[in-house]
Amino acid sequence: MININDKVILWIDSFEIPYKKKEGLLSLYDDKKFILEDIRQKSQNVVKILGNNFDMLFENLQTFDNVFDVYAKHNVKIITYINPNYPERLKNIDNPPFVLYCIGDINLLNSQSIGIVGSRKVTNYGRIVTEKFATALAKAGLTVISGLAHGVDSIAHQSTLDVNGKTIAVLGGGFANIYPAENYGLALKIAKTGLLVTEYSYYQNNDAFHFPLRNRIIAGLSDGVLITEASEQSGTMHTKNYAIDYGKELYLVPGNITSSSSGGCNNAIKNLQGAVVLSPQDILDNYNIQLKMEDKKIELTSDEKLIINIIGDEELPFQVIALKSKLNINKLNSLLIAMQLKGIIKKVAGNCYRK
Amino acid sequence: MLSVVTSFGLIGISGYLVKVEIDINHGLPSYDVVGLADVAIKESKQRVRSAIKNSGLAFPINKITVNLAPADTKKEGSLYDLPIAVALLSATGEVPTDSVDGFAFIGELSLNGSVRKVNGILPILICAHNLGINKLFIPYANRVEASYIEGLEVYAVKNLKELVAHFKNEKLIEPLKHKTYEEAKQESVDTNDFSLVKGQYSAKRALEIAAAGGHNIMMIGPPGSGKTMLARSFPTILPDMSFEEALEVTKIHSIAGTLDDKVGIITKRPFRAPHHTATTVALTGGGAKAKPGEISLAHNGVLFLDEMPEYSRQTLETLRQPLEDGVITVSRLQQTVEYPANFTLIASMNPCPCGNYGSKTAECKCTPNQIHKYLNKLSGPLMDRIDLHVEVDSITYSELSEDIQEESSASIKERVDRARQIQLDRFKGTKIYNNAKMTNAMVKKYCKLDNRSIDLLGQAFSDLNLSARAYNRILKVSRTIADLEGSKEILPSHIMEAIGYRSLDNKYWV
Repeated sequence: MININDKVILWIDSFEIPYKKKEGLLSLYDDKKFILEDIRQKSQNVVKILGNNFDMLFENLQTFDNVFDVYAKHNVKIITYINPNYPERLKNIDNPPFVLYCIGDINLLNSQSIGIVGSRKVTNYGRIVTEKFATALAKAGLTVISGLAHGVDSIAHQSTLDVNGKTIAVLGGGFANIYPAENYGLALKIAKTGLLVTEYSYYQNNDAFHFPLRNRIIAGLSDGVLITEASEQSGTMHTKNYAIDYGKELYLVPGNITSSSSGGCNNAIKNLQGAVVLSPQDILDNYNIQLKMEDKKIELTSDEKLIINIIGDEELPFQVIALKSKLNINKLNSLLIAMQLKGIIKKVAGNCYRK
Repeated sequence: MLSVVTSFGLIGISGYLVKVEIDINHGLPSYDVVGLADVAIKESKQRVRSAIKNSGLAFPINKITVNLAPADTKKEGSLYDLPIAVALLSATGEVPTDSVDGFAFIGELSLNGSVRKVNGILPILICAHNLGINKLFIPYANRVEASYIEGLEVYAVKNLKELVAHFKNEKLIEPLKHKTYEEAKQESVDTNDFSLVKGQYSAKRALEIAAAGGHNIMMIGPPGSGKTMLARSFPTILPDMSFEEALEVTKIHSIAGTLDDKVGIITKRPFRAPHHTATTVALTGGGAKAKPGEISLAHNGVLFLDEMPEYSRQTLETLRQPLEDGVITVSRLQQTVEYPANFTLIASMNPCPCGNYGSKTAECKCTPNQIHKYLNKLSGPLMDRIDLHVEVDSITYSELSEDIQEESSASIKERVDRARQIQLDRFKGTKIYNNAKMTNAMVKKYCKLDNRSIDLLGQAFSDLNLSARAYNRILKVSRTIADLEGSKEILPSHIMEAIGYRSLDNKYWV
């Protein structure tokens, strides 16, 4: 059961009133239950702080009793800012949320972590880089934090789950409105082994202005923030600025200078010398973790070796592989699928293959 | 004076016997047509009168009644002009009354007495043949189409005068020479050939499998990558049509009026590529006269839907039933017609609305949402009926200029023919002719897998994010791949290749 102080905070947090007013109200008393009493009696200092929002709280006093029900029903854990589980590092950001609504493993909130963020629109390059970093960092034991959006966020979550790593998704709305809806399945998977976090009460919508605010929590929860691909207009630039403001380590993956999809990263690298990372180990050095070399050797047939040699470090279209290998098309087709199943190569958009 | 002449009508793609009866009585001059005739037939009065007069013959100034029997079937079209004129002339004695017995007449008249082309001659001839009416007069312009049915004595008339002269034994018209299907086949030449398409090995291989197993196929690729060219070459690797198949196709085209006058019979499998603005009725058939639509015109051939997501959703959904049953039933106020619609569907689409997703050279400007919307336009049940998805490479200049001899359609067709023969033997005695149409029970019987293949398939499903509905498709396609290789068993390599043709299920994009 929830204790009375937490419940008061939860109740106040459920109203859409300005942050400053909530903050003022909650800082009035150490024992929060007196707030309710004062509202009931229309005490002067409460009315003064709340101003025109006072009536809303006064009229909804009766909702206090049931405010926790919906969370109990859906197994949502409530961590208020006075709760010992509330992550210390989150208290150092601007306007730390009063309540964290969590589904999943709340121990992850205080684990060693890395935020991996980027554009919703990814190029093949962005996809490869994100997969590579997320996989390596998750394997090294870091918790991967991201925002469940399309593109880089989803790839970061998914790659982490693929190697049984731990991941946190920070949402921009209440749990009743998982956004984007396509990632609902992904959210369910994360809830099982990782953690879903939001500062919004159960039924709140994903308003556009929530997302920059959501980014401050990603930056706040992470020990470092990695941006794998972001254009200059991308919302990821908010996360970058928060990371700088909160003194987090910022890691940027450079991109092709002709690609607008990497414009944001490249420009930030230009301005912040030294933030550039080229491999997961560059990040892990700061965490004092040594990446273990994979000693798993896969037996390759001669045909498979041939294909691996042809592909090299490039991303090659099917017909080029066909011409260079001189194998029968039907044989090549099944060979490429077999190699995908073995995990030696990957198929990417445009009928291309890479290692 | 009473006179009766034989003619024919059309319902859907089959003909039926119509007796044209004329009675000329004394009384006030009048001209009435009874027997549920449409406006075109009622107007025949003017054409028949002028045609007879302008041929230098007498038109009776009496009370004339025309009856089209059976009187309870709606009749339409202009093909009764000629039988009505002949009946009139025999009633007035301009041609000897007995001489027209045993003949059937079809044709439209022009005011100057010449006989004009009509649609649907072939189904009428087939019906006449079945009913044992072996002597027919048809318009001269329809002569080629009419020369392929054996055992019929068909006369092609240019004008009314010629016809009268024939019956008066003044100048006889020669019956048409019979032409064989083989002759017609040699006359038509293909301009498309797979050897003209450079590269695109994966797409060509997928099309070969589609042709061999009768599978529907979806090609995904950026604009200008050659999807349309590949699709147009597809009929060249399909097995030749048998005479029966050709007749069925020609019947449909004859009714629709899309038949080539010079050849008269369709020997190549049809290729229909309706534009994406096509309406539902244009695709399925219908309209006031319940005409055949594009899917019926593609019967025994290929229906190519370029840029499939651009078609309206409703239009695409109507394809579901014909894709399953091979026929479409068109119901209209006055009639319900069943048209055959057994075609191979080739669809093409871009990977995203702008077409550049995954391209090496151009940048994609679509948002993830736009791409999702674009891909979601194709409903699950419809995609369920498409066995193969293949990505088409975008071509760069250097690859185009490479001097490599590409395989010709003829040599691919040999392999396809062999695989088809194996399937015909396998499904002997059933109503199924290819792997794509296998029922679930047949899939169980003919697509047995060894343990290694089952493991592979299981791994593929989890590793490549395949959806469950892909399962049967993969089995059917791997059966075809095995047939192409002449292998009795489905081997792991066949399964693997089949898995590769599910790229839309394998959601690696977005």
